[in-house]
Amino acid sequence: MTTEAVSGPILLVEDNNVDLDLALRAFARRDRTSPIEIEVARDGEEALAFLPRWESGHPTPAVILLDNKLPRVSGLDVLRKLKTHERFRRIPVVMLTSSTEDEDVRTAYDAGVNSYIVKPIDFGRFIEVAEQIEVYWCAVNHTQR
Amino acid sequence: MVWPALTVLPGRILAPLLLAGFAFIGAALNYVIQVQEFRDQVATDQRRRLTEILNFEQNRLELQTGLASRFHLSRIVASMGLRSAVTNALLVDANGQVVGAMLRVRLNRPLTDAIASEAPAVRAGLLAIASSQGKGIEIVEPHGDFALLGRVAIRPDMTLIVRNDLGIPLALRAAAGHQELWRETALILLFTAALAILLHVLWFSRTARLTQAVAAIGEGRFDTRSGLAGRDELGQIGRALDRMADDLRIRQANLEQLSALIDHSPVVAIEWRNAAGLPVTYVSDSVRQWGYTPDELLSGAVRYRDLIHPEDRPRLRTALVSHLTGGPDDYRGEHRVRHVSGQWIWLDGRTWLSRDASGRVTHVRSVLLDVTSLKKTEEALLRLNATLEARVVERTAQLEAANRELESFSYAISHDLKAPLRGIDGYSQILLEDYRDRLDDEGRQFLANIRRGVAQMHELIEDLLAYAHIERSVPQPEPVALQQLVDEVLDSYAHEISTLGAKIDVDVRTPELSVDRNGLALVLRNLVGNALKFSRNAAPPRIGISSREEAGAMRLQVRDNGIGFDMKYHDRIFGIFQRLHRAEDYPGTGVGLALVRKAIERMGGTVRAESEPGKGATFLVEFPL
Repeated sequence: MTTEAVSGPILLVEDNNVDLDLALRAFARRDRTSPIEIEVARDGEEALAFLPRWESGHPTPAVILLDNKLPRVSGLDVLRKLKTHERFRRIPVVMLTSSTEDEDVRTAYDAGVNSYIVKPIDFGRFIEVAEQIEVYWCAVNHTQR
Repeated sequence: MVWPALTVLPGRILAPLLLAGFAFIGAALNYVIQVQEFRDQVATDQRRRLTEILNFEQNRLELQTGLASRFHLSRIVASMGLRSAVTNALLVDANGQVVGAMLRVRLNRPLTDAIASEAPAVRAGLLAIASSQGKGIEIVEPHGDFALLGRVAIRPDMTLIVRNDLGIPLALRAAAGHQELWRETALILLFTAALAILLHVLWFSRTARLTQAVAAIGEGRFDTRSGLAGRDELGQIGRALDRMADDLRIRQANLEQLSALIDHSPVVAIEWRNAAGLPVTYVSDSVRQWGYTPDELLSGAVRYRDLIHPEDRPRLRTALVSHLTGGPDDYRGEHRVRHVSGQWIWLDGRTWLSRDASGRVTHVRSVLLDVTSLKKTEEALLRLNATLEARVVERTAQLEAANRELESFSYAISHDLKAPLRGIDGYSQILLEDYRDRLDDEGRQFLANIRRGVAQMHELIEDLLAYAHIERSVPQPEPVALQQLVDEVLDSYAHEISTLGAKIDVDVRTPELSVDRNGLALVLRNLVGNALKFSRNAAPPRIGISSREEAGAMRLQVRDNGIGFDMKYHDRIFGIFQRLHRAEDYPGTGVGLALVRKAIERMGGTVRAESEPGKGATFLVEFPL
């Protein structure tokens, strides 16, 4: 595989320590050589706190990986805020969650999510998913800067 | 008036009395008429006789005058006294001297002197006729004297005057007439008596029977019969009366039956006369069910209006006034009356008005049915309904809460149970990869077992989630092409099929179905997965999928040539967590077939299996179309 320039960091919104650690390890073990910058928000409020930083010049992420079940402000609320934001509503958001519930999938898409991915239990599969997310959202997909 | 006085007496007495009275009156009238006739007859007879006498004596006297024998003349005149009723005979000469008379003393004297001894009326009559100058026979009836006076001129110059008394012949005639009259009267009375007897036999005795019969029937003894025969008017009346009595008896019997029916029915019938105070004129015996006797209501000791519930009174009064003034004549409504015990009885009443020929309301009639128990049931039902609705609302809220709880529970399973699994699997794999050198074979084997457990746990959670999902989802029928669905399912197993070298035989002959697509896909996926799992040791595995439309039902069949099972376990294999084999031999959660059965039942279908150990299994699914 060729190395391509990553167009921006990945913002990972995840409250669970284990899941966060595994996700970071999965991205670290991906079959790619180029470094990838991952920013982390540990809950919905931290995620929303990125908005003023982006406005003051901090680079916006290439994709936001959003867990749904978060303390205080849920992933769905963060999604709705982002997708109704004047400037940042075009940032791709991928829901990365455990729920396979139709209802959750439907409300996520209704709120404007760009993709809905169920976290694989199998760690090997998780690594593949991480790699595919990076390839697609950071390299293949073209977004407005 | 005379007539009412006459009707005081019965006919059988009055009629003979009247007959006798009329007979007497007739006889008396006859007598009066006869007496008058006697006078006329006597007067006529005597006049004719007097004329004859005068004629005869004129001739005799004129013969003697010619002989100029005065003696003979007087003798002839005197002889006239022999004739009955002749009281005076006077022969007067031209000088007015009496030359002949019945009494010798009157001879040779002037007429006036000669008759001086006579009664004045007789004398005046004689003088009057003597002065007459007629030539022939002249007869007059003098005024004031019941007699005939005759005068005849005797040639040459004399006049004969005769007085013929009428009283004596009349008396003789009357005497004879009286006898005749008495005989006639006696005869009339005799016939009257005979007629009275005949009338009594023919009419009055029968009339009396008729009268008694009518009186008896009038008193209500409808078994009484007049028993009158005959073809006369009385006989006809009698027979008509008997027929009427028959008719009345039948009608009375019918009325009594009807009355008994009402008296024994739950209905109370009441009739009021439309007069001041609405007096009750009839009430059925069934009123006793309210604790009152008919007499109490009829006598006014208990007034109906006092029994009516105070709340219902104004409404009923308004309704009655409105119906009496403007109709309609029929009214139906409910009201309450007080039972003698003080409890209130609900009545369903039908009331109608009776009018006379002039349209005036004469009576108000009602039939009243006790509907208290119905009312109570109705009220209980209403109460029950009200509480039922509240209970349904409450239960629905509880069910909704339970449903929400279930949803959050399954959400917790999907999220919270899977999260630790990811950690266990992830760190097991990291250990295997990053710490491989520091683990011996046994340690690596342990980690592999941990990862297999995680996979099983994950599969179980997913199956449970699917089962819960099926349980609370409503099937959404949509057009499904079965062939396409089967192909999709087989595609999902493409890797396994090629690995096992399985032969798949698809024979779908069902056109488009209207079913829940997700449900049917789940069923097919599980059945095909099962077939592959249990026939993997066959050489080669053969799986047949076919469908037929039969008798208005769709029959879907999934057949394999796997290990099969004993039919005694048929019902167990469709139960949740039921397994027939060890997990090492045939891995699985024991949820698959339970999921199949649940999904099919939700779609209104059935599933069963046919098998023998070692001879494969066939799963049969049936849906009504």
